[in-house]
Amino acid sequence: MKKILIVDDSEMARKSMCFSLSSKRYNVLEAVSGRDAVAKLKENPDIGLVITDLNMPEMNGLELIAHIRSNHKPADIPVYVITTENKTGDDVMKKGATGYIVKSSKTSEELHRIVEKHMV
Amino acid sequence: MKKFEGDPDILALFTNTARAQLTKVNNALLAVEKKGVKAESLKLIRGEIHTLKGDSRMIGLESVSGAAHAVEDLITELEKAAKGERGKLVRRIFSLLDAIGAAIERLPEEVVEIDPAEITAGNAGKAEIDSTAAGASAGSGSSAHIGSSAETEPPPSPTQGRREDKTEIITLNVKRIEDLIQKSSAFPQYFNKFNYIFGQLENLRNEMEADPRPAENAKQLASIVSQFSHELSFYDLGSRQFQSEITKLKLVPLATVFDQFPRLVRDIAEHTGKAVAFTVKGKDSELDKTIVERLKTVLIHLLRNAVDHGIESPAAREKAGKPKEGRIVLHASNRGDMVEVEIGDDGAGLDLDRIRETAIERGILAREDAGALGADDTMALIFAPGFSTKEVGSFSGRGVGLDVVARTVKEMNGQVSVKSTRGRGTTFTVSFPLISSFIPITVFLLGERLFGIPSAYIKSVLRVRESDRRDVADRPVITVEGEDIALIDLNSWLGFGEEPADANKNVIIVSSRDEISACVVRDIIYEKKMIIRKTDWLVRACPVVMGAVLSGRERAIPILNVPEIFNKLKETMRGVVRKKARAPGVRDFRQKNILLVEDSAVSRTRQRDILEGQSFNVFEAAHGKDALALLEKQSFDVVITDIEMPVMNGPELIRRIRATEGLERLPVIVMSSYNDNLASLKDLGINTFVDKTKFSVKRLIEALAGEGIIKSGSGSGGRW
Repeated sequence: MKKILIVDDSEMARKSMCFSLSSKRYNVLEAVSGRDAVAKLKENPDIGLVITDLNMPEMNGLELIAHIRSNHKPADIPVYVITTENKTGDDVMKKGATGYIVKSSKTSEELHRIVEKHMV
Repeated sequence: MKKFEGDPDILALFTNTARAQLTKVNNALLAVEKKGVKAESLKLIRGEIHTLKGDSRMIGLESVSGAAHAVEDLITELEKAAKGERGKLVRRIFSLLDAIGAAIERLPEEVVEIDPAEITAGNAGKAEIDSTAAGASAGSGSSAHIGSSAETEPPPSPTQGRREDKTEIITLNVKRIEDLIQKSSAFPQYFNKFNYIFGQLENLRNEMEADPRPAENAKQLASIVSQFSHELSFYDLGSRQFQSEITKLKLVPLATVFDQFPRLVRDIAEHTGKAVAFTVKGKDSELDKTIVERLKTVLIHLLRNAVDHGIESPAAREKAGKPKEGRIVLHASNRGDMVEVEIGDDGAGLDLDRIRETAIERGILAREDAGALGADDTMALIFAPGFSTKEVGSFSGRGVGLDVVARTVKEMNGQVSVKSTRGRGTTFTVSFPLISSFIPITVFLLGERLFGIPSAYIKSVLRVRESDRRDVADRPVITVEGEDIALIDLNSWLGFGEEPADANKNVIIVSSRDEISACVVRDIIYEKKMIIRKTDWLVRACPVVMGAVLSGRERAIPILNVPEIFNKLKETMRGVVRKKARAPGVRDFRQKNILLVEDSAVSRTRQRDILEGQSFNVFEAAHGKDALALLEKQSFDVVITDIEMPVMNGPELIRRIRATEGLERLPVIVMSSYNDNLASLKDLGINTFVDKTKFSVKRLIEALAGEGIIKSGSGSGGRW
């Protein structure tokens, strides 16, 4: 099965997503910044889904998407943005995101929906 | 009240992260307040708050994320605001941060709603400032009441126990885990070696069974024993190293606590109208997480004292030719297996005359002793129980809450001292052991006495009916889960007399290795994590006691040595050793019962506090008749009585006591200001007279020692 990469500088956000996904036996990798994510993508060609935060030190979410879309193979790997603000949604879609999730108590359900769509 | 329903591990991670975020934001905001709006500080604040906002959304804490959002907006406002408006905005942000901090501490019991619109400068909305003070009380259950005075330690309660059960998270250094793994790899090797020795023993047994040759067998056995002892010493060393390495996992840097103090000091200074420059040094020192939390309570007390009572008002400082702004330095350093923390201020210093006066007023010091008391001894008085007062402002010097400080430090096996120069300042030094050995202790009542057992030995607690009890081979047993367990009346076994026959009995099932027994106790009082002090003289006097813990009011509670009790029980059960009425020395150790007869409630309370501070069980009576009633019900080691009292006065009480069978020789100490009748009192058969006007702990202790009630110099807790 392909791996899922979760990119967020907040440990708390990362852990709660990993926690909810690994309970369903998905193989989840973590990255703490865009730069870290690029390295993890290089090391793990079997990553099939990326979930990324926007505000991060050392390469933010939008820069990461731009990098993936122009350098990664396959370039159309699904990348979802997880954001704190509602209003950024449509904006990130224009910048190449496959979709977005707004951080809320429903995040976990949304996440499962997305993961099932792409991984099963 | 809405509860938090999410996953406890995720919540623990959130709480831990959020506390750290709030501390960082608070300190960055302090920098803004002191040095003005700098891009760097604002960037840091925005980053942390944004993460907090996202994190709190993830676990469904909309009120926290809403408040975080409000902070973001205020930061933007602050950036644009004119200089004159910044102060108010900063204070409003502080209040919001406090409200967030308070809300986080209420989790998971309550999800607190925060309405940012309700929160103005200097008002943290529904959350009270003194329960959150700069988040300085975060997580410890301690409180930092700004400007309030001595707080008494609340009695340990089940709720407190529950708090300790909350998941706590600490960050670990991977290097430490690697060391542990490396050290743990030795254990399978020990097993192999022991197994090899075991094989040799088996061989020897087989040889002996087949063809016993005593001389040769003994030689072989001696060789195996020597090998075994050699391996044991390696095992001992290895397991000790492993244990010490594991204990280190609990060490956290002092920064986790120290970083909360700048905000605390700022708030107290603002509240008390002082100008303070606060410096922190040595926050990289590491300390046991449990100790760090206690240390925090102590340091908050001392910092509050330093700002409130140490540093003079800016006007007074100027008058004294000092800079307007006072200095407070918090300095931690490692001293072997201790951490030493100094809190120094450049304030007015201790007023020794006032300390002496207060000590005399409070009955801690006798007036005629005051003159001879040196500077160091005088300063030490401020830690004495009873020196501090709960009344705000009744003593404007030092001393507020310092007995709490002294007690907490003592409970931790630490030390506290003070040095001061009049006009130049005061420095408190607190030293704590790096590693604590807090273990959960269950405290219960046997008869009227408190005892404890490490909770690890307790399998379960039950209530049994008389009908559950059966006799097997003349010994009482109860059946628990199909197993017959010997029922033991601990109180009578220890030689204190039987528990009154109740229809229902509280029973604790105690087990150690293969042994198990059911002990009857009167009541379970509480469970709390405490340090067992291994007091040599105590253990020598009473082998079934392994040490004692200090509880509130400096009361010592003996902790029973469970394996030793089982050893002793086995002896008595087998009937090989005659059943002893009580273990030797028990009577010497138990707390002494004092009957205090005094009509003035004020004096009585003061004397009781002092006596309890010396670990006595104190019973109170308002007059002679009350006292006689108590004497009928309860045995006492000594009676301390006043002379002039309503209903029945002292001389009459003494006459009645002396006329009662069994009480003819009961020591009676008279404490009164009417000393002209001394001669006639002696005739009544009193033992010692203490002049109330010169009442001091020292005199009372001397009187008690003179009666053989206590060994002289055995009084605990005092620094007289």
